[in-house]
Amino acid sequence: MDNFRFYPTLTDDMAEKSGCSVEKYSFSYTSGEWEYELKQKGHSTVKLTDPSEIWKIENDGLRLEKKISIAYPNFLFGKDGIVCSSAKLGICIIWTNKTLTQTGCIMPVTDITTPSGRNCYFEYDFEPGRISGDLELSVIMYVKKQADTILDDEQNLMNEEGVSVGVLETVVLDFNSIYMEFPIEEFSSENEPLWWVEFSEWEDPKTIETFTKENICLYLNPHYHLCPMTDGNIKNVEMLSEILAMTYFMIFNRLSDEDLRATKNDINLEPGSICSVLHQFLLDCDEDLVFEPRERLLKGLQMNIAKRLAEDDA
Amino acid sequence: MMIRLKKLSYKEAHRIISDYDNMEDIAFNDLIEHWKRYDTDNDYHESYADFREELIDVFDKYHSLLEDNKKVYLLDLKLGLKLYSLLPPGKDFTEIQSNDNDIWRYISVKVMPDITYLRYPEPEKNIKEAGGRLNHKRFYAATRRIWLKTLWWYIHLSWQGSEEKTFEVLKENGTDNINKLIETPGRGYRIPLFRSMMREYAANTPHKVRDFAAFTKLNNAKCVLVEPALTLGGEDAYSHRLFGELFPKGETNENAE
Repeated sequence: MDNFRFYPTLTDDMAEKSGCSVEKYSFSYTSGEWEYELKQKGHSTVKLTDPSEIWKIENDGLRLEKKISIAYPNFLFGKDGIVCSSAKLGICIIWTNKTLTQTGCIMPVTDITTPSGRNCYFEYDFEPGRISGDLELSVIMYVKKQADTILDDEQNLMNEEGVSVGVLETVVLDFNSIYMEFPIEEFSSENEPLWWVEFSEWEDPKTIETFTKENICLYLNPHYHLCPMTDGNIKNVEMLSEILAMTYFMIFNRLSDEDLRATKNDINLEPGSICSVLHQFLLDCDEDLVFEPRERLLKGLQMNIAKRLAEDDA
Repeated sequence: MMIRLKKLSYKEAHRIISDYDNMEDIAFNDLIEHWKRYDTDNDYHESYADFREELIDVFDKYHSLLEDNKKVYLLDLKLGLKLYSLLPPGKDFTEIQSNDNDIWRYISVKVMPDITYLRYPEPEKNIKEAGGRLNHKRFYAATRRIWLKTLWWYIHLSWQGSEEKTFEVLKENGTDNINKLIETPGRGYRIPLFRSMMREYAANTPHKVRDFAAFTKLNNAKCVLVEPALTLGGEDAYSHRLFGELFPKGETNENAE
């Protein structure tokens, strides 16, 4: 519903025609007098790692830099564009940290238009202690200054200041390790098994259902002494690894052929969606998972998850 | 002495509060008599001693307001301002820490159980029906209802640069404003916007709590499309226009149901 608009917004075609070029973020942090770059893995969901294994978003903060250029910005104005001819178009990054329920805007430090196009450069520091768990970064275009005169063929265009008229890119940063991000609930009961999984009805796991407890939940039952986790503390990594592998196996089996294809190839996946997180999971696997025959998929999952949990545990 | 922040898990907080719930009548009544004299035998970390004393001073000064539902807001406000001055946001109390329920659970359950009880002596209906005595939500259970946490966040989201200015902006409000502000974050708290909205709301007194509800509700609806910081004149002008949209003649909706 949030994506439905009664006015034209930026399309892939428009972005291409106007020569929009969004460079990858550069992420780093500062320790003492030195700045250290963080490595990125993934596209719509990005996992950051620190080669020197010091960085933690909570303790060290995060610095980002990004360049955006539009070779032919004129294509974005007028009846076939997204704002009126005499309006001003702004570009900014909206950040949202769901864990801390915070959101805000990052404005470009430079925004220069020359005959060869428009170039925006962003530089921003999230200080230590400011962000936790997750961070979504959306580059948006918005009406910066409304047009004083709206031409007859521009009546359908948005002309209210501060309103978004298109999203150039959305990236979700994943700061947690595999078992932390997986939706797990502990539920102690003598009437339930050691572990089980509950799924909601999925309408479109590529876009609608998010990889969260409402849609996927692994229940672990501390009533049993074999339970691999109590109060969030892992007691038995091998057991947790086996359970997670079976859970991922069930999740992959639940996808239609089309959803699985989209997941493997990152086709039209909404950040945070079930398929988007699974895509990231596949990227993070050391060796490509083989899906057929199914027993090979399960074995591949067992091997990969065991390795990752062992790394996290180290 | 600088506070060394401690944490108390949900489970542990639940256990402690449930232990109070399950006390024998005589023992519980005796406990309450002690709490009324701000006498607790809790073993909280020593670095909280001055913090506790300063909060008790403010609570005691305004505790007579507890008897008047309409005036008890002043106690909340004064205590909130004191709490904020003792735990100012910054390097020693980061956004992450101010959001950490376990830190607030420690403060509520271990350090300040007496005033939390005295402020909210009635348990929730379901707790009461189950024989409970304390208000679990206000002590530890509901992440946006832990009393002292809500006071800190109310001041934080309304902060005007100084205690005096913040008091001036908030003094005409009521307890419901606290809940309404905390519980309507939209996609996330836009802190500069909330501070502008509180200024705008204060500039349009007298007003009623339902005006504030309408104000925050309209803001959430607008923010689906508009990013207030990006509008002409930024958050201040946006807040002014928003209020003007709700009450075109600069009047509050006194006749509204």
